[in-house]
Amino acid sequence: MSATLDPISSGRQAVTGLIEEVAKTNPVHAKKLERFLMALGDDYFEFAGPFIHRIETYLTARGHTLEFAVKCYLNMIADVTMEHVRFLRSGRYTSTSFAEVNERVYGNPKVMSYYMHGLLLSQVLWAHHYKMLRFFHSGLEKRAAGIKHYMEVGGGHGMFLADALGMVKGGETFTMVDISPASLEMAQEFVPHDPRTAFKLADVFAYEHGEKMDFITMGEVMEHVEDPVALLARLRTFLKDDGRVFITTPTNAPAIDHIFLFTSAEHIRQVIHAAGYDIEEELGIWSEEMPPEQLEKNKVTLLYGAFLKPRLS
Amino acid sequence: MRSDLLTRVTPVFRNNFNAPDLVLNETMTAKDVEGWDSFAHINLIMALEDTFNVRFETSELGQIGCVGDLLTLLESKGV
Ligand SMILES: C[S@@+](CC[C@H](N)C(=O)[O-])C[C@H]1O[C@@H](n2cnc3c(N)ncnc32)[C@H](O)[C@@H]1O
Repeated sequence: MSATLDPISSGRQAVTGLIEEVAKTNPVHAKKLERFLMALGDDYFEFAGPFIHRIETYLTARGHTLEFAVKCYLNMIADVTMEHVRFLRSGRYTSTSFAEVNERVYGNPKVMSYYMHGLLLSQVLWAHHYKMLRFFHSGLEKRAAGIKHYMEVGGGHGMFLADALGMVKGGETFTMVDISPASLEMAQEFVPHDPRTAFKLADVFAYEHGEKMDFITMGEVMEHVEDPVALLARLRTFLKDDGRVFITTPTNAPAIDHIFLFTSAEHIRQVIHAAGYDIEEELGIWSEEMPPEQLEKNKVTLLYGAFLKPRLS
Repeated sequence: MRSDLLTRVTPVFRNNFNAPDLVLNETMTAKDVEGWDSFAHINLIMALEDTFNVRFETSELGQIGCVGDLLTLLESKGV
């Protein structure tokens, strides 16, 4: 339909289409998306066109449409809205234990399916997710030479792994570990078929791996565990001494499966240091635009991402 | 009565969106009210819950398209 359009215009058209679909059910949310996304530069639209096309191709292969993914996304948004109201009332996340979340979410195929499809769309619909993805791309690119063994923990939809496969040219193994059957199933479909990939259904705390890793990615998992210091320390056991880790995690981000409440970027840094890592490069992105003093007062989500190297003692 | 409910909801909107002169009608959507986006929406929901002493469900939160939808929702909760 848009064969004659340039990449920027066709990306803009694809994004507008998604926002219009969102607006049919949730105009309040659509308004926010429009305000944030239409303010982004051409590079965003250039990225968004092919990205949405990729999602659409994956959906079509599974007998779904983009409308289905938008529905999933809106279910996720309704959950987040509800959790947000509760969070502002209580100052806490509603879930406190891993067992609870494992039952409520990871082990529940229905919830996990809409959640992961929704999260996949959020990579292109949330300006802060998009910016973080770009940070990941540029940081991985710089570090890609020499990576042979690559791992992703809690890969969910598989989108980061799919990108790493294309970027880490010398990679010999790409292993994704995730505790949710629904996530693994989705990732196996979403990630291009490649003999170098392996998908492991396991709790990262119980998982064992023979080969040491050059690079480990772990997007939005630290807030899902009871003890994030122990989680990062666990990753260290998979990592070579000169290996690197990329993590992301949000502050003040109520969700059905979030347990550990990070209250600030500094709080996250403390956890990183306590687990025995130094921060090589970091980025923090607020999910709302308002004057700095209001961001903290309103407990706005900050998405934090960093490349870490193990501290050698 | 429905128009009565609209009158009772109006001050909550005016307060929440800092718009003392806002005149609400049932067909108004987020587009028509400055500042009504998802962040302000959370505060609106909380203010409505507190004012009318009700609690919304997750499935209800995703389907508020216009002011009229909100009124219907409140009515269904006995307001
Ligand atoms: C919010 S999703 C993140 C998906 C993707 N990495 C991203 O950043 O968009 C969290 C993922 O971590 C997985 N997960 C949570 N706890 C885990 C654990 N203890 N071991 C392995 N995977 C876990 C969940 O099943 C889910 O797929």
